[in-house]
Amino acid sequence: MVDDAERTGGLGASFPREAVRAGLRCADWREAVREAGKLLVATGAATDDYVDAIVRAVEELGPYIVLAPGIALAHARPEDGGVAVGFSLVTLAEPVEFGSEHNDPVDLVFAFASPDSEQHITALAALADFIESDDNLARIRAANDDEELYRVIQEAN
Amino acid sequence: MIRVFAVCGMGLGTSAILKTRLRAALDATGVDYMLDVTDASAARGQQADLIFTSAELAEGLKGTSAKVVVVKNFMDREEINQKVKEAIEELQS
Repeated sequence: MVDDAERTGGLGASFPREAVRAGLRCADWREAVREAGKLLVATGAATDDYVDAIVRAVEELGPYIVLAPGIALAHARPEDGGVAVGFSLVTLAEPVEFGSEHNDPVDLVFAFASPDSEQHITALAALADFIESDDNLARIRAANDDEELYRVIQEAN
Repeated sequence: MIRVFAVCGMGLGTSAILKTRLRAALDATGVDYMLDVTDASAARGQQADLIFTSAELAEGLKGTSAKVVVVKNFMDREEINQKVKEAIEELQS
């Protein structure tokens, strides 16, 4: 039997079951980013400090983390509390504004943590290839609950 | 040798994704290049010919000797390919 990590080239393995939440209602970008960050803490990829650091990073550096229409990639630095390579995803029932010039509003908030500046790169590239597909994005947005969202990511090719 | 940087706030996320797209686009032009990622503050001290970054970070990179190119959608290979092609043509003209 081929396991999920092998089948997805690492993407599925980077998203544990507890790392995805579908259809959350968040008042603003801060809450959405915190929810995605909290999932990294829940899966042991980051500390609580890391979640604060992600919010600070967006405040200080601006909303450049909204890298494509509707999609934010939230993260802080390894030294801010990155424990292990881990990714998370929160899909929002109602999109929120980040203040991005080109890519607001956002309804998909990905987050990641890494213990250093290298170990996450392979999984990050796999994630980029995954979200490059409009079909994958449509399936993520259509997922009604956490279980379905988890399956969409695990079944991605 | 053209020196190219993918720049984001920390040099860890967005720029790492951008680097993979830039590599493909630069390979297609056939130019001899060096490509690296860095964060916005370190980028100001680097000698570079081309810097690719987001609209939000481009403002802070004014004053560097490099040509700064704004990428709107980091997932859009077409946009990135087109902007790389134009930037290389401008450098070589």
